[in-house]
Amino acid sequence: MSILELIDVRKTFAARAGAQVALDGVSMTLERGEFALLMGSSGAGKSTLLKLILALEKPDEGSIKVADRDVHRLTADSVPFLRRNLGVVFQDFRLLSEATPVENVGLPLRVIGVGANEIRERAREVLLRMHLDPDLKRPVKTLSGGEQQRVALARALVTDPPVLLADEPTGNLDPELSREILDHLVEIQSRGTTVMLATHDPLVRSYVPVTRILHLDHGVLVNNEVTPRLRAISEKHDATDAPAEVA
Amino acid sequence: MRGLRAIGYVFARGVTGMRQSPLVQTVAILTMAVCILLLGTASLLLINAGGVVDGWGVDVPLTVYLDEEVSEEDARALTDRITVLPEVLDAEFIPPETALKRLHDGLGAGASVLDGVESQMLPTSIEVHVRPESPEEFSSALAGRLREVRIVEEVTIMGEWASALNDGLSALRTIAGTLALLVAFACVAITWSTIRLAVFARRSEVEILRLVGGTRRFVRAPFVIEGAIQGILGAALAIALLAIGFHSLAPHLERGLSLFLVAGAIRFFTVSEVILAMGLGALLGVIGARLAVARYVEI
Repeated sequence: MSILELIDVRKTFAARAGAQVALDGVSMTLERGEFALLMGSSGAGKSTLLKLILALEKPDEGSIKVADRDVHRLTADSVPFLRRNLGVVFQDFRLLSEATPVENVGLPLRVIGVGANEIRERAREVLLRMHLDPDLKRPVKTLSGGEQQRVALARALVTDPPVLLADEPTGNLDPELSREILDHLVEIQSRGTTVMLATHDPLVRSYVPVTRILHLDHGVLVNNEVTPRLRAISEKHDATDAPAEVA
Repeated sequence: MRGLRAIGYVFARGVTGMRQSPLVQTVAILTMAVCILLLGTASLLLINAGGVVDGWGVDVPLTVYLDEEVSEEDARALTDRITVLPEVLDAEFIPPETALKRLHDGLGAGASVLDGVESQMLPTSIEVHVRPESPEEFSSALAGRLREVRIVEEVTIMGEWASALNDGLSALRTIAGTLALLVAFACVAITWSTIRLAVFARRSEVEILRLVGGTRRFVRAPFVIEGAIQGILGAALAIALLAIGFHSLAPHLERGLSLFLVAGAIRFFTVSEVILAMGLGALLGVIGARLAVARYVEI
């Protein structure tokens, strides 16, 4: 069963030299529990695609469905509920720099009105899972890049979203820290979360056991390659899980 | 329960947000206070001008002074005869004791000059209020008829004098109303501008809240709360300054007004008026903040 479906998606941005095509007729499907690698050089349209899935941008044409819900047909008031089902991490972490790791990780829970004790408990749990000290009282801006990215990952996972979108999460990290983050992503996928990892680094492909490789070139999906791992994932989910609810 | 927790967080975030930019907030609150101070001064002038005019009795269009030998029975009978006229709203019998008390109140601190004055030294009178819809010439016609009554000594009509004062009051009301609109606009503009700055200063936080599924209300509310607090603090500061100014000037004003027999006619805002002013300050802050977040905080 598909968790994410893009049908003939086109997106352009206005530029001085005329409309700049960011995505051109992109169609693809992700099954639940997949680990998809979204590859392409800078400016290929990877970030635009993730922004469209998150409803941060609107497509000019086509549709994007998350768990069979058309993202861009949702009302403005429903969009936040969609985002609560999509964990997201970025190259630049996007953390509250003055807040502690627990405060950052607890933010998605604050948004839905969870009590302070439960927030602390759940944030500690997921920080430990990311091999971070949950008792750190320092602002996250004082942590290393790798630690900050793990805090960002913990924040993305604290609500147990069915989908995790990662936009160049290792882009600011050295090779060793990058491998650490990739290991976390693999572990997250092994627990049943669908992961879409956007990267321009071809070495990631050899390190991560992915189910699908998507390659964007100047906004066009030039490759949608399924690996043998997908069959095993599909069989596992068809046999066990109920459909994920979004929004 | 979850909703209440979210409200608690949003409120705390609004207060914390203000602490993050103390200089901008202070300037905004001071500017709002100056604007509200102007409006408050105009309102106090209006309220007290009305009080002074009432003290002079210009709202009584016709006063009938009776012969000093008149009996109370005859005076009340004449009052009743005037009251039943269809053009008359009401007629009030004012015995000398009531007149002396009013004079005493009007002199305020200078009332000691009346020591030893007997009420019998003042005339008995009847105050006549004419219905507003009555013909203009009715008051003078009634005065003419009353002057022919045996027990009537004098009839005064406030006509032109009252009309001039009421015109002055109307002009003051128009000025205060215009000032109120200008001040409201200024307060909204100040809050709009401050909140716009706050949104830019905290744009990464807004972006993060959007990403983690913050609703429109959740993301925008802290800024609106900031606006409301600015309005309340601006109004409170303005009222405090006005209170200090009023209580410093009031004794001097009272002395001056006692010469015109209207001491005690001036007052400061009542508690409910102060609460209303703070509420209005909050409302203007909320409007300014809502306009800013509607424009600058997208979900």
